[in-house]
Amino acid sequence: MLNSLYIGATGLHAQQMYVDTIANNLANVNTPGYKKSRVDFQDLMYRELSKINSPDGTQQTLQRLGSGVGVANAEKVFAAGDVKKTDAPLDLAIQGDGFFEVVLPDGSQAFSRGGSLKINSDGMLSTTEGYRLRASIHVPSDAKQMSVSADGHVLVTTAANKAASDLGQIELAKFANPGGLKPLGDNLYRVSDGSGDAVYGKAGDDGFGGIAQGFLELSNVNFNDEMVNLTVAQRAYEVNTRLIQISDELMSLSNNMRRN
Amino acid sequence: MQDALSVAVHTMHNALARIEGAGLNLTNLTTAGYKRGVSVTRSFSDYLGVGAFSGTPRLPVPVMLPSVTQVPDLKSGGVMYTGNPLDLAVSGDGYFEVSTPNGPAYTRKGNFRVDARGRLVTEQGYALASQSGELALTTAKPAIDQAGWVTDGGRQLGQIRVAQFSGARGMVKLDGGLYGQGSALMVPTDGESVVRQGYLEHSNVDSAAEMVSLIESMRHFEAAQRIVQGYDDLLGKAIQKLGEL
Repeated sequence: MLNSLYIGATGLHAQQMYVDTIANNLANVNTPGYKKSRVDFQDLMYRELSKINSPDGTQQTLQRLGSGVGVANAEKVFAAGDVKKTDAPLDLAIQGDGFFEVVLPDGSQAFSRGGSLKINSDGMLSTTEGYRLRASIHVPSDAKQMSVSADGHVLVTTAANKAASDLGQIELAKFANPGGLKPLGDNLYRVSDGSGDAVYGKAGDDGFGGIAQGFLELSNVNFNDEMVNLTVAQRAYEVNTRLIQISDELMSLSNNMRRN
Repeated sequence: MQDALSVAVHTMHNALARIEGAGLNLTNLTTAGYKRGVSVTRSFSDYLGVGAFSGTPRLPVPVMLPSVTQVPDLKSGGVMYTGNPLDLAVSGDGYFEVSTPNGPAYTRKGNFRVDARGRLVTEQGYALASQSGELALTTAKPAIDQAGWVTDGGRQLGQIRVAQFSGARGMVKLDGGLYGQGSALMVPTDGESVVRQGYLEHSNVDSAAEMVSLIESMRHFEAAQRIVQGYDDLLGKAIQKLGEL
């Protein structure tokens, strides 16, 4: 009966989600390669409350009232993070658009923005979690020095062979709507209906970023922005609790209409 | 005899409708592009004017119908810089036109995104209308100038359609920040409807004003409740006295 109570509840849900998202962003302010999430809100369905008949026989809607607020979507924002020089040969950053494709243990594909790579137990170039790159780059165990060129060629010198040999090229993938990718955690993303299919290309080509070896892409979370958002979210939450309080008081007034 | 009671009930209904309206505004405090609703009371003569109760001899008080309606306040919310290339704001009185299954709808809510087909869409997936066919982006970083021309990867794709209305209050509020044309008339855009990329229009709700309206309406409700109590006492006394005769 008392719509304001339920409207207040939708507000609490929405602001709770806002705070949760901000908390996750703030917690990952120092996670290399982390992409911040963003929540967008929308006003919910409008109901036609009452209609009256006009003299000309048509019905006229007197009132339309909404039913609160909902979360329209919570998407990742793939704005570039700052890039930090680390000089570690396995730290790869993509300067611009693009993702590395990695193969998950079940054979399915996932995409990563790079970060600290490692050589897994099979000698394959892989992510920190041990998922190998789709480019299948096998680094020999006696490798002395490894370099990755801006266009993705992996060159290795070994103790026996001073001349650099080319182990293969890392390809990049991009998407019409990277925000629609489904985050899997560990900085990995999966293709979804919203993202569109992967378009492959060489690093440094038109529309793709170049690969920077010895650099790490930092989190793109802006601490100040998140703190401002947190303040807004907290106050918005508070105002919704007030609305619920007032609705409660109204019900109390109605219930005590008859004095004993 | 029952008029005082029914007026009190009517007052309570109106207070509830106002509280609901203020509540809606408050819950949408952080909804981009939201336009607050202003609670407006319709007078009795207004009711009579539309002929809803013509023929009834007494002053018609439709007890169960709150006579408060919501009129959108279309003033612009604050426009804030987000830096996101897909956030668009219109300055002036313009609206973005989007295509929905039920025909065109209009919005000031500019947090667009790119869908899998490369179209610029609202969060419900409705495509932003352009002057010339479909906008098919290949990147999520188009450049959009103030006249709404979209350039992506060095190619000019088309111009975003911005609509302007006279009598914009006649527009019908749909959910998700969209408006139907309603009784508003489309007019040619003036020079002030400029598209700004990387900006987002915030909700135009003022939480202080809404809280004041909330408290005011609550007290109004309380006052009406007291009228009911007082009238109830009066009736009780009258019956008692009549019984003594």
